[in-house]
Amino acid sequence: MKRIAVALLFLTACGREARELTLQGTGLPPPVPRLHAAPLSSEGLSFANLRRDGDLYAVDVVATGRLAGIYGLALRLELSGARWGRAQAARDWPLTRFEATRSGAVGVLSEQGAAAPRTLEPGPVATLWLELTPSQPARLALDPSHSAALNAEAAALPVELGSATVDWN
Amino acid sequence: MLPTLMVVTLFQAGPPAAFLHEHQLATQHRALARALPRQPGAFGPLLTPALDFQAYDVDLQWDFRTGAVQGSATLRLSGLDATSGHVAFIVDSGVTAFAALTPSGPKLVQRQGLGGGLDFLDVATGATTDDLTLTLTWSGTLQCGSAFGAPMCARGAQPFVWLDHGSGVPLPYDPVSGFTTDTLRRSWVLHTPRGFAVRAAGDLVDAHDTATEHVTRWATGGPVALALNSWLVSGTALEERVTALPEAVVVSTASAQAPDVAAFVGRILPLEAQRFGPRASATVSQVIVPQSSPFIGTASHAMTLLNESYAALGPTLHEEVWAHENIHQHFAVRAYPADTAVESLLTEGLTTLLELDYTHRAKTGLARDLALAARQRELALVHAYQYPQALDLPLLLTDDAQVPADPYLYNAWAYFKGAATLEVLRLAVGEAVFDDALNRYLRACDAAPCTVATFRGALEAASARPLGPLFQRLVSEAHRLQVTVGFEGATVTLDQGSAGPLPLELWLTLDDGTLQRERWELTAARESRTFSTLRPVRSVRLNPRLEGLVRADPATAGDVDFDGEVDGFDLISCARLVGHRVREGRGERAGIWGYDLDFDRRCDLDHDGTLSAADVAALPFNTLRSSP
Repeated sequence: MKRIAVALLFLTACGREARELTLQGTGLPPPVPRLHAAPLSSEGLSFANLRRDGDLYAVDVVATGRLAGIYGLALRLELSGARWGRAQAARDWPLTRFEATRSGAVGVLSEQGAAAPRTLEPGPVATLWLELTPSQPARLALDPSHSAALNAEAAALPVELGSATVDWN
Repeated sequence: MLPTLMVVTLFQAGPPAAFLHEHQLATQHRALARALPRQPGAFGPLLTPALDFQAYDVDLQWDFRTGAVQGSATLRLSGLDATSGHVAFIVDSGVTAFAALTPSGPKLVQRQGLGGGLDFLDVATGATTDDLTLTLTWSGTLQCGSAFGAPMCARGAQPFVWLDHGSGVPLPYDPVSGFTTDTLRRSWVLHTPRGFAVRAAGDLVDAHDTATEHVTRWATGGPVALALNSWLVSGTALEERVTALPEAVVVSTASAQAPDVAAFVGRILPLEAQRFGPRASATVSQVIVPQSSPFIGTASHAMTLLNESYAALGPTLHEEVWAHENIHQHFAVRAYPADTAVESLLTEGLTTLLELDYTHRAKTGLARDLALAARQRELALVHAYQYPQALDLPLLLTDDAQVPADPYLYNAWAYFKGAATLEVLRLAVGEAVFDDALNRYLRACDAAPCTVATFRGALEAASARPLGPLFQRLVSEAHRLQVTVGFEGATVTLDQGSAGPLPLELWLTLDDGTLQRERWELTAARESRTFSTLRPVRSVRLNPRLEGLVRADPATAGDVDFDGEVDGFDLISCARLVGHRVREGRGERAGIWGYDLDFDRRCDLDHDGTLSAADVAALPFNTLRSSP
């Protein structure tokens, strides 16, 4: 039984390698993923800057405008067509945690204690590393019913939460 | 400066001093009751009294500057046949001349020292089935000793002095039932030095001055409990300040707090009278006891007394404590329980619950729930972090020896557990029904000595439901009540560990933010119920007002917002509290004991009373429901 399992793994690995070799051999450029962020109707959090980073693809969660009074961000990321890798806050927060779920990830970026809420300037808030399958479309979204930007009283602020799709050329 | 520092230290160390004083008076009562001679095998407030005291009219010359007293009184009573013809009194040991007469002539008086500057006097009146009028005369110089830990008088040319029955005025008691619930009418003619104000525990009838004396007449509006303290206050610096209310005069030693207190009582008295009807007296003097005085405060017939040190609590809680003492005019003065020692639920429990109502009177609906829940949180925190043993003591005791000797534990039990338990009962029957029950209880107490059974009867009558098993569990027994809340969809499971009646109110928050309230009379150790909801259920918790008594936890550890999973919302809820210490509330978010009303014990994983980054780091994360 163990021998069979090893054989299957070997075959799978060979298959992948063979496919890439084949693509390179044809002279066609490798497929390139493109991110399409759904437009927001107001300032909020969206996705941008998809790029390759080693075996993974990095994408930024970005503030689309100036977001004031933010004490913490509670995030629930839904993924389809992609697998969670890891995440990192783009700015320094006293509390940062991300963990994979069966369908994405759950995360938190937060001040601690009596720290004053902060203003997020437009730009990256966190970077997510995802495993994308070439040519396979993907979707990533911040679940609006389980994500929020919170003020110092832990009340949700009117910050729109976005989604994005990934396709391949 | 030193007294200020001492007061601040006291507040930081524990409960407000006036509550300690109430404990001191209660302790004194019990110590005195134990020390007093009695009929063999007798003595208990619930025993049928041997004597029926009817009226006590006192004429007293009291020079507080020297402690000299000279008095006479007539005491009308009946029932002497049952006591072999004896009437007993307590008096200051400095009252050396004491005589008693009946129409048939002088009576033998035997004296016995009780210690603490008090003496016991036994007057052999002779048995008679007729009503008897006993004429007393006495004189002496008050010693004002420790009197079992709570001096019953003060003397000297001081700004503020006081005198209670049992010191300068002989206090009769019943040789069978001790400090009974027997009621009697009282009146005083006071002759005090001219030029100094005086107040007594009654309504002022009239006043005039002679060349040397200030003569005032006082009377109770009706019969008052014999056991109730009856203060007389005076002093070299006492002054009176009228308020907007004709029934309230603020009395102080030129206290800077007098305008504030006048404003407080202008709000408190009408509100409580509107809610609970008439007080036992037409007037209520509001006595601001100077901070320098060891006498800190209490409630008496027609008089509310509170030490200045209470201002250190801040204006809101300062007013609240004045409300507490004035609510006692209804629940202690008018409704004097048969046994205040073993039934403190009816005095301190009720009054603490109602003082919270007073402070949050302007709030309604959910805002009221949340405000009262925050105050109940302090009660829970005191029990969780400082006095868990208060939960192990039934509210209805069988013996006054069970009353906690530690005054702080006494507060945690009588005031906090009492108020928390009453809140559970109130939510079980509904606010309007509960108020109706309180008024029924007051009327019942007007007619006869009242007990916890009286209160239960009033609540049963108002709610039209039997409450025996519930009172048995919550009042007669002691349990550490805890409920674990879990849910899947609209099916909620509550686990209380062991079977027993426990009325709860569930808060189901739907995914659109709607709050759906559901009553649940939990009886089994574990029960599940499915509710009909218009939207998916987002979170389920108990009404947090219940959490003063009922320890509520989510089925998923770390799920502090009770939505069934631990995610960023939970971590942020706890992260924002990092640095909070349970006993260091700040500003408006500090309770009456200085506890932090924002402190969430569910974030304090190591239960050290401090919410730290380590607690947040130790919170589980990603215990999510089924993936979307």
